[in-house]
Amino acid sequence: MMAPGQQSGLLRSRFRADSGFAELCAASNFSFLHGASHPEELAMRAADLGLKALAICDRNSVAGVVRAHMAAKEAGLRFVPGCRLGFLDGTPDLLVWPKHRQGYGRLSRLLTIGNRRAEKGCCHLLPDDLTHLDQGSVTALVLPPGLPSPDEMIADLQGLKAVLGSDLRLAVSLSKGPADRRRLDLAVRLAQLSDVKLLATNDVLYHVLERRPLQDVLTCIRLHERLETAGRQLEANAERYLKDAEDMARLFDGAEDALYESLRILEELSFSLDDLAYEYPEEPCGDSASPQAELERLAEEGAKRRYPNGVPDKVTKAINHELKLVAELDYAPYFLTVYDIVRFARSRGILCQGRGSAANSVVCFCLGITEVDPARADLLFERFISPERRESPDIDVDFEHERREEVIQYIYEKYGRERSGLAATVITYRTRSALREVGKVFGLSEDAIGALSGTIWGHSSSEASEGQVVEAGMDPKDPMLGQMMELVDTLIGFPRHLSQHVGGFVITKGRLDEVVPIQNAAMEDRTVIEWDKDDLDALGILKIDILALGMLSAIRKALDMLSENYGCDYTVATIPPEEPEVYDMLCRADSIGVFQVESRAQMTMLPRLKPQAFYDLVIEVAIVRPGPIQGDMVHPYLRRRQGLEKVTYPSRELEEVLGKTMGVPLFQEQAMKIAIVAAGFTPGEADRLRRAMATFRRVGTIGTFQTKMIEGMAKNGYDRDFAERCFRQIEGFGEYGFPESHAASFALLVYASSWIKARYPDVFCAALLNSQPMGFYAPAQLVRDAREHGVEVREVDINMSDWDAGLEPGNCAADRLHRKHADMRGTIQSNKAVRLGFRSIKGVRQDDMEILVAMRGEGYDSVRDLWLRTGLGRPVIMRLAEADAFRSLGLDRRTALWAAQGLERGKVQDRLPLFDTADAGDLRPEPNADLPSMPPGAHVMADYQTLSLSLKAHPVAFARPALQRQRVVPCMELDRLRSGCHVTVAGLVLVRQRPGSAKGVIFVTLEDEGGIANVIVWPKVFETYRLLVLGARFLKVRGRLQSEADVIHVVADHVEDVTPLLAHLNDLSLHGEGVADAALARADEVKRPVVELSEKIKPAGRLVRLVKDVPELRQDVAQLKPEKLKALPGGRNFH
Amino acid sequence: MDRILRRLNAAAPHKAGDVEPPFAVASRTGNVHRLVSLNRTARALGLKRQDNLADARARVPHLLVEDVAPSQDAALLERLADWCDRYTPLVALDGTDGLLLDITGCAHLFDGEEALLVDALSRLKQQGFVVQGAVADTPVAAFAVARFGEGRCVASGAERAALSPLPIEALRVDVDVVRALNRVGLPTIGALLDRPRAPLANRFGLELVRRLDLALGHEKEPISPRFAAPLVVAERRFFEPIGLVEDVEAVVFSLAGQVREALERRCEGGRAFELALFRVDGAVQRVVVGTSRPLRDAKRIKALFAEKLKVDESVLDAGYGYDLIRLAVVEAQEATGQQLVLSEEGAAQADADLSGLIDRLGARLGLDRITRLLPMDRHLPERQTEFVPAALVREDAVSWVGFGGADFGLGRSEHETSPSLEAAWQELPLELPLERPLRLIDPAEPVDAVAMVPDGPPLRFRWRRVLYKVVRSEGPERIAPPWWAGNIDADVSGERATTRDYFRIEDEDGRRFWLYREGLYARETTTPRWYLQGVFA
Amino acid sequence: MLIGADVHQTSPKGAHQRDRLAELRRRIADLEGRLPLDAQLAPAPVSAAAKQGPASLGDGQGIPDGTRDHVPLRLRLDLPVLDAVFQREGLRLDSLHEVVGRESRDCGAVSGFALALLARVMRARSGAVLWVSSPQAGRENGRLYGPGLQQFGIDPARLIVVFPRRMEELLWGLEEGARCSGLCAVFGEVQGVSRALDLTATRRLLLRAQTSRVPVILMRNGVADEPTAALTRWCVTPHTSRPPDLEHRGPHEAVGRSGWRVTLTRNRDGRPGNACVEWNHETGQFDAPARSLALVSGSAGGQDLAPVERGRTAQGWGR
Repeated sequence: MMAPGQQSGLLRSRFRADSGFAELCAASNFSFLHGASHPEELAMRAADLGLKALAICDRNSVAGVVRAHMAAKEAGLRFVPGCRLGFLDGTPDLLVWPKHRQGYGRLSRLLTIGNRRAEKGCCHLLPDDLTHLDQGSVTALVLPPGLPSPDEMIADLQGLKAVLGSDLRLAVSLSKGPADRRRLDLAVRLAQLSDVKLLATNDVLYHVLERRPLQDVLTCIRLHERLETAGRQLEANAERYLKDAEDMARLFDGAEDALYESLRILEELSFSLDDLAYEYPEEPCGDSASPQAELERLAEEGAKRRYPNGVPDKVTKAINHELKLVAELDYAPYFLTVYDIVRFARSRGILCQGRGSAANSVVCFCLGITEVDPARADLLFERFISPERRESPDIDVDFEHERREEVIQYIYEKYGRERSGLAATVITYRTRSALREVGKVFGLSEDAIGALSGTIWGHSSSEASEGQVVEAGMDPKDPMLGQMMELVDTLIGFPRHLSQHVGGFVITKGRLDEVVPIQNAAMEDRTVIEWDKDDLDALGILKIDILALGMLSAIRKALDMLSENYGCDYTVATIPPEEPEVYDMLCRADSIGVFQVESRAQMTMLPRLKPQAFYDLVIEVAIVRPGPIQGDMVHPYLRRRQGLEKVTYPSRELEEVLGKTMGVPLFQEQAMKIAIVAAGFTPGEADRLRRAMATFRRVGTIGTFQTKMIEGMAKNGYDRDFAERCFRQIEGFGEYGFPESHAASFALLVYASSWIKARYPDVFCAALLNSQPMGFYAPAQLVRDAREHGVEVREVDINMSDWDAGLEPGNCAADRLHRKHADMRGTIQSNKAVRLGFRSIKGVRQDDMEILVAMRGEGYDSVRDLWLRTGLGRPVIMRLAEADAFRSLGLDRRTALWAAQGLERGKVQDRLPLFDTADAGDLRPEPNADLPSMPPGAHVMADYQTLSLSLKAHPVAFARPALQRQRVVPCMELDRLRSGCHVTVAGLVLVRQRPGSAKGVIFVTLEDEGGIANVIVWPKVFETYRLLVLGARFLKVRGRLQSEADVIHVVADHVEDVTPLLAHLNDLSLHGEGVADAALARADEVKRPVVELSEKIKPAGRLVRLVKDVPELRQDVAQLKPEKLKALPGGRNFH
Repeated sequence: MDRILRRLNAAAPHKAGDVEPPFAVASRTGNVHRLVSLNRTARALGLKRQDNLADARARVPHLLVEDVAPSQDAALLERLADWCDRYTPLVALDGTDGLLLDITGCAHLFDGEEALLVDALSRLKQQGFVVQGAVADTPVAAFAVARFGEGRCVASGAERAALSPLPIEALRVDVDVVRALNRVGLPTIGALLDRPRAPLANRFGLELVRRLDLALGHEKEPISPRFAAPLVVAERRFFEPIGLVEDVEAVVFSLAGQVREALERRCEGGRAFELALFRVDGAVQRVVVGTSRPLRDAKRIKALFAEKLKVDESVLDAGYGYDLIRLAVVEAQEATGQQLVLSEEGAAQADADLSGLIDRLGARLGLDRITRLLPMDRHLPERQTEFVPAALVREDAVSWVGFGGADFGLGRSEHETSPSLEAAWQELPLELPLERPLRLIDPAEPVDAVAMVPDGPPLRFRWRRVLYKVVRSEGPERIAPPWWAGNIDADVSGERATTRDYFRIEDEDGRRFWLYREGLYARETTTPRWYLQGVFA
Repeated sequence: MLIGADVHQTSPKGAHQRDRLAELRRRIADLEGRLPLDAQLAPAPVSAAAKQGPASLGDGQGIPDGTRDHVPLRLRLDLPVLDAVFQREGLRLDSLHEVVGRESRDCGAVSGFALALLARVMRARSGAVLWVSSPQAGRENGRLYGPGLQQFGIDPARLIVVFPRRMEELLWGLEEGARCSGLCAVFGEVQGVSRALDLTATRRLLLRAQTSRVPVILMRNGVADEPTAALTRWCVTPHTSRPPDLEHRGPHEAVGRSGWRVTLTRNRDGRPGNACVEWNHETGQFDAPARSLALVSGSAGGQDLAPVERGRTAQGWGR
C-alpha cells in the first residue's frame, strides 16, 4: 500500500509547449465589473508568461486596448486589439480581431452603431449588425459555459458562417468545470461538423489567480448582491487567470490543434493600433497656399499687432524656430483650428485665454491664443512640442464657465458629430467609492461604511489605523475587515465608467467613428469617444481642451458692471497695469475672492513675498506648489527676497536660467533647464524626465535619472545638495507641473481680479456672487469682506432685488472702512451699495423670480398682491418670506410668513375670477396676527438657513457673553497679543484643509463676528480630537499664538465643541448645525473631499507609459516590482 | 428599552448606588442605524435619540446596544395592557409605547384618581419600568401631560393651565404643522389657545383646531379598547365533570364544529389551536397544536388533538374531571373556502389529505422532522441542499430549476438544421453525465488515495477499510470554497479552506463514487488530502 | 385533473357511483382480508402515464377521486426483460416492493435502481412522495442530495422527507403515508436488519398500499433474505458502466450511465429473473446495455413500446 498523498508519477504534456500559445480572449477591467485586472497588468503578465501574443477583448468596448497596447509594446509582447461582442438576442458572444486598418474601422463603426442606439454606457448589438464587419476581422464564436445544446450551437455557427465565412472560429475555454472532457469533445465535434476551426482560449478575467476575490467582489457589485447571497453567480473556482502554453497544453490535452490555431490566427492579423495615423481636420487657409503658409501669415500679422514698435529680434528668432518645427511636424492645421475657435469666442464676446504649455509658444501669443508676452518670459518651445516624442501639442483654452457651451456647440456644428467628439475621462474607484461598494458587498451597513470612510479623511486607505476602525465602531481584529481593506486597496484605480472629459475635443479629418467608437454622453447632445486623453496622447491623436473657468465669468461680469455703473470701459488687457495700491492690498494678504491667491497657503505667503510687480505675481502663483516646496526652494527664495541672504548663482551658465528668480529655481522650466544646462540632458530627455516624475511619484525615486542628474551636475562642479534639491523639485513638479508660462497666464487674471477688488469692492463682490459657485469662499465670507471694505450690502427684497446681485446708489465706501483696511482709503472708488439677488435664496428658481421681477411694476404692496399678480405658488412665497424678503412692505420674516401661510393652496390661475369678487370677504384684512416677535439671534439663524449668510449679525455675536465668561479672545484682538502667549479662540469652522505638502497638519479657519483665526492642528492633537475637528461646526480652541510677518496662527492644544451655545438662539425645531454648515466655505475639504494625491495615479496604470517614454527606467521597474508595486503582476508563483 | 433593561437587571442585579451602564436600543431604517431610545446614563453622556449608532459608539465605546424588536415590544405592551385590566376593562394601546385607560367610574375603587395614578405608577416602577402617567379629562390632554409634561393628575377644568407650556407636538399633529407653527413663533399650545381659530385652521388645517378642541374637552373622543379575546373561542361547561378520553374527544369535535363556523365567517383557517381543560380543582391544562396550513375542518381538528393526546399522556390527567373545556384559535390565516372545506371534489380532497398527513406525522414525530429538500444557491456541494421543516416551506422556494436537469439535459430542439447536418448530428454520440451523486456523505469521509500529480485522478483508494481500484474517472472539477472571512460556510474546515478537485470515479465492480482532493498540489499544499463525499447510482 | 386524454370521460354521477362501489369493495376486502382481484383492475396505457408531468406539492393537484380508477395500476418499465417477468406487462403499483442490497457499500447501486423505479412512478402519478428514512440510513449511506436527484430525473421538490427517531415511528410513518391516497408513492429506507420490520409489518404495509393504491417501495440495504410480504423483491448489485464515446484523455475512460445487475429474487406477480439494466437519466428510461443481456424469463411481448417523449426543459440550454 502506498501512503496517503504519495504520488505515483507525473502527468506529462504531449504538447510541445515551446511552439507557444497566444491568449486571444482576455477581459480587462474595462469590461466593467467583469474583468479584475488592469490592461497593463494583463499585458505585462502575458509577456512574463512568454505568450506569443495577447488580445484584450472587452465587452462591446475598446476602451482598454490602448493601455494594453502601450504596455505590450514596452514588454516586447505582440498585442492584438480585439472586442467581445455581446448581443441582445441571446446569440453567444463573438470575439472580433481586426485584420487591418479597414477592418478596425468597421469594428469601430459597428460599436458606434451599438452605442448610439443605447443609453449612455450601454451598447445594443444584434447579429444583423455583423454585416458591417465585412470580412475585415477574424471572429470566433464563444462556446457558452457548460455543455450547451449542440443543435443551437450548430444553428448559431451556421448562421454566423453565412455572414462571416472563413473568418469564423469556435472559441472554447475549459475552466475545470464538471464536464470539461465532454465539453472539449463537444467543441471538437461541433467544429468538425460546422467546418470551422477550433480555438483554445482561457476566457481570461484576471491576470493572476490571486485576483479571484476581487473578481467575486466585482460580480457582487454588478449584481447588487452580497458575497453571502451571490451564490453560484460567482465563479466556482479561480481558473480564469492568464495561463502559459504549458498549462494550456495540459488543459487541451488531445486538442493541440486548437492551441496552434491561436498562432495561425495571428498570421492573419496585421493591424496594430500604431496604424491609426492621425489626420488633422482641414482648415480654410484663406488665400494662402497651404495651412503652413496661412499660419505663417497669421503669425506675422499677429506679431506686428503685438509689437507695434517693432518685433524684437529674440521674438522673430523664436517665431522662425517654432514655425520650422511646426512645419516639420505638420502641426499647422492644429494651430489654425485652435485659432478659429478662439476667434469665434472673441466674436461672441466670450472671454477666453489659452494657457498651459501652449503659452510657451510665441506663435500662440501672436495668434491671440495666449496673452503672455514671450518677450518677458523665457519660453522653452520643446516643452510644448517635442520633436523627439512626436506627441501632440497640448493647447488648453479657458472660457467663461457660463458660456463655454456656445463654443462647444460651435465645434459640433462646424465639424459634425462624425468628425468631432469629446474625449472620455475614465472615472475610477477612489477610496470612498471603493470602500462603499466593497463594504456593501461584505454586508456592512451603510452606517458602518459611512463611519469607516469618514475616518479615512487624512489617511490613505491602506494605513487605516486600528484607532480609526475602533472609532468607526468596529473591531480592528476582525479578519473580514482586513480582507475588505485589502480589496478596497486593489479596487482603487479601477475604472468604473467612462465619462466625458471636461473639455477635451478630438477633431479628425476623416470619420472619427472609424478611429474610435463613439458613445452617447449623459448630457443630451454630447457624444464621447471611448478613449481618454492619455490614450489619445499615446496614439498621437490631437485634442483641444475647451475648459471652463469661473473667474473669467466673474471678471466679465465685473467689467460689464463697471461700464454700466461707473462708466469706465476696460478689458482684461486695458485694466490699468502695475498700480502700486493693488499690490499694497495683496501685500496685506487682503485677497479674499482674488483669483488663485485667496487660499490659506497663498495668504500666508503674500505678506512674506510682498509682490510689487506683475512678475512677482507670476512667482506667487507658482511658488506655493509641491515642486518648489519639495525642492525646499521656498525659504531660500524668501530669504533672498527679504534681503536676508545674498543672491548667488551656482554657476555662470545658470545665472541666465535663474536670473529672474534670484538664483533659486522655482518654475518647471528652470528645473528642466538645469537638467539640460548643468547635468547635460538633451531637451527631449529633460521632458521625458518630467513625464517620468508625473508617473512615478508614488512609487519612489527613479534611480537612473537621479543618478544621471545628480552625478552629471556634480561632475560639472555643482554642489551635491543643490543638485539633490533640484531633483526633488522636479519630482514635486510631477503632478502639478507648473511652468512659468502657465503661471504667467494665471498671474494676468490675478492682477485683473485684484485691481477690481482694490478699486471697486462693490463690483467685485456682486460679480463674484453672481458667478457662484466658484472659488474658495462662501457668499458669507465674500459679503463680509465687501462690508469690511466699506461696501454697504443690502438684503434681498421682493421690491428691490433682481435674480442677480446688483448695484444701487450708496455711500462712498472709502469712508466706511474697517480699521484693518484703513490704508485703502485712497484706493477704493466705490460709491454704490450691493443689493443681494434672489439667487442667494436657497430653493427658489430663476424663472419664478424673473416672473416676479417682470410683474413688479411700481412694486408690490402686500403678500397677497404679489401672489395675485405673479401667480407664484404658496411654497415659493413662503420661501421668500422665510428669506425675510418682505421688509420693504414693513413685514418681518414671521409676519410675512403668517401672511403667506394664509394664502390659499393651489395656483392663482385655478381660482375663478367670479369667486374672487364673490368671496370678497377673503380680502378683508384678518385680525392682527400679533405674533411674538422674533429674537435677533433667531433671525440670524434663519438668515443662514435660507441665504447662507446674514446681514444682521454674526451668529457668534450671540454667544459672545458666554464666550467672554470662558475667557475667549475675539479673533480681531489676536493681532494685539504677543507671539507665544496662550489664547483661547472660538468661531464657526470655515475651512479645514490638509495640504499634501504639510505632513498631516490640519489647517482650520475659524470665524467670529469680528474676524477670523487661523488654527493649526498638529497630527498628534488631531488624533485626540479627530471627531471634533472633523465634525463640529462651532469650535473653541485653546493654544499658543504664533505670529510671524503679519501672519497669525493659533497652534491648537485643546479643542472643544461649543455648538450648543448656538442652540438656544434657535427655534425649537431648528438645529444650530445646519446654520454652521451653511457657513462652511467651499474650500472645506471635509465637506467637499478633494481627490487624494495618492489616488490620482495608480502606478501600474501609468507605469507602462512611463517606461515607454523612458526606456532607461526599465531596470528600475524591475527592481521595484517586489516591494513597491503591489498592483503589478506578481512573480511566477505557479508551479 | 425597558423590556431589555429588565432582562439585564434580572440577569445581573446591580447594587443600589451603582450606575447603570450606558445602554441604547438602535433601529435600522434603510441602511442607517439610529438610536431610538437610551437609558439615563447614556443620555447623561450626551447621546440623543436619532443619533447615528456608529457615531455614538465612537463617542461612548462602552455603550451597550441592542436592536429593536418591535414584535417583542408589542407583546410586552400587550401583557402590560392585560395587567392594567385590574384598573379598568377599557384599556387601549396608545402607539407602540403607551397605554390609555378609561377610568371613568373606576377611580373610586382605588381611593380616587390621584391614588390610582400613584398606585399604577409605583407598581409598574417596581416591575422595572420607567413610566410617566397623567390623569386628565380628555385623552389628548392626558397624553400631552404624560408625555410632554411632568405627568400628574390634572384637575377637571385645569387643562388650559396644564397644556399651555407644552410644545405643539404634545397635540400629536403632523410634524409639518409643528414646524410651520414654530416658524411663525408659536411653539407652545398656550400660544394657540387664545388665538382666533379661523386663521389657524386656514393656515394649518382643521385637524390642528380639532386637536385643540379635543384636548380641552370641547369635543369628545372615545378610546378604543383593544380586542381582548383570542380570535375565536368555543367552550362548554359541564355540571357533571367529565374525564374519559373519548368524552373529551367528542367535546373537542363539537367545539371544533363551532369554531369552524366562526372561522368560515372570518374567511380564515386556523394555524394553531389551543385546547384548555379546566379541572374541577382549578388547575388548567393546555394543549396546543399547529397545522401546516389553514384548517377549519372539525374532524381534522379533532384528529390532531387525539394524536397529540395519545402521545403526550401526561396531559390528560383528569383527576376529579373537567368542568370547562375551551377550544381557542390562537393563530389564524386568511384562507378561501375552497381550500378548506372538505368537498366531494377530488383535488381539494387529495390536498387536504396531504396536509392532513403532514399534520398527523408532525403531531406525533414533531413538525421539524417532516422536511422538504430546499435548494441552496452555493458552490460548496454540502451546502446545496437543506432539509427544512415542511410546515415552514413556501412553495416557491423549492424550485430546483437551475440545478442540473435543465442545464444538462440533452434534447432535440426545434432548430432548423439542414438535412445533411441533421444526419451528421445523429452521429454525435454525446451523452450528458450525472455530475452530482444521489447521496451525499456529510461530512465527507477521509480516504487514503493514490493519484497522479498535479491534478490527476485517483488510481486507488481505501474507504472504510476496503481498497478500491479506479477503472473509470472524470475530472477534476475544481471548486474553490468561499474565501472571505466570516462566510456562512466557513466552518467547513475551520481554517482557511483550500480548493477541491472533484472526481467522479467507478471501481472495478461498477460502484461509482465522488471523491475530492483537498488542496491543489504545489499551489496550496504538497500533501493533498482525499475525501469521499458522495455515492452515485 | 385528467390523467390521460384517451381515457373515456365519465359523468360525475357515474364517478360517484363507481366511487361507492369501490368503497364497498374495499370494505369487503378488508373484512375478508384478501386482495382485490387482478381482473377487476384495468391497466392504463403507458403513453397516458408518460404524459403525466411532475406536479408540485402545493398546487393542490391531487388525483380526483372520480378518476382514481384510471390511475395506472401497472407501470411499464419499458424494458422488455423487466416488464416480461410479470403476469401482465409492468409493475403493480398498488403494492409493496422491496429493493435490497446485501452489502452496505453497494448502497449507490441499490438507491440508484430504487430511485429509478421511483422516477418512473413519479412520472406516472402526480402528487408528493413521502420518503421515510431510518436514522441509520443517512449516516451509513449518505443523505439524499437534491442536485443529484434532480439530474437523475427526480424532482426533489416533490419529496417530503421524514426523519423518525425509531423503527416503530418509521413503520408508523410509512403506514400513515400508505393510507394517504393523495400521495404519489411512499418510500421507506432501512439500513441493516431490523426486528421490527418483520413479516407482519410488511403485510400491514402491503394491505395499506392495496387499499389506497399508493405504491410503497421499501429499500433495505445490508440485509440477507429476510422474510417479507412484499409483492416483489429486487436484489441489486453494482455493474460497470459503458464508457461514453469520448476522445481518450488521461489515464481512465470516462464514467458512463448508471447500470446495475438486478435480480428479482421474489415475485408474487410473475416469475423471478435477473438482468443487467442501465438508467438513462436524460430520457428517464431503462435501457438494456447493448453488450450484455442476460435474460432469464422469456415471453417478452413486442407490443406497443410507445416512445416516451422528453419535453424540452423550460430553461433551455445553459445559456
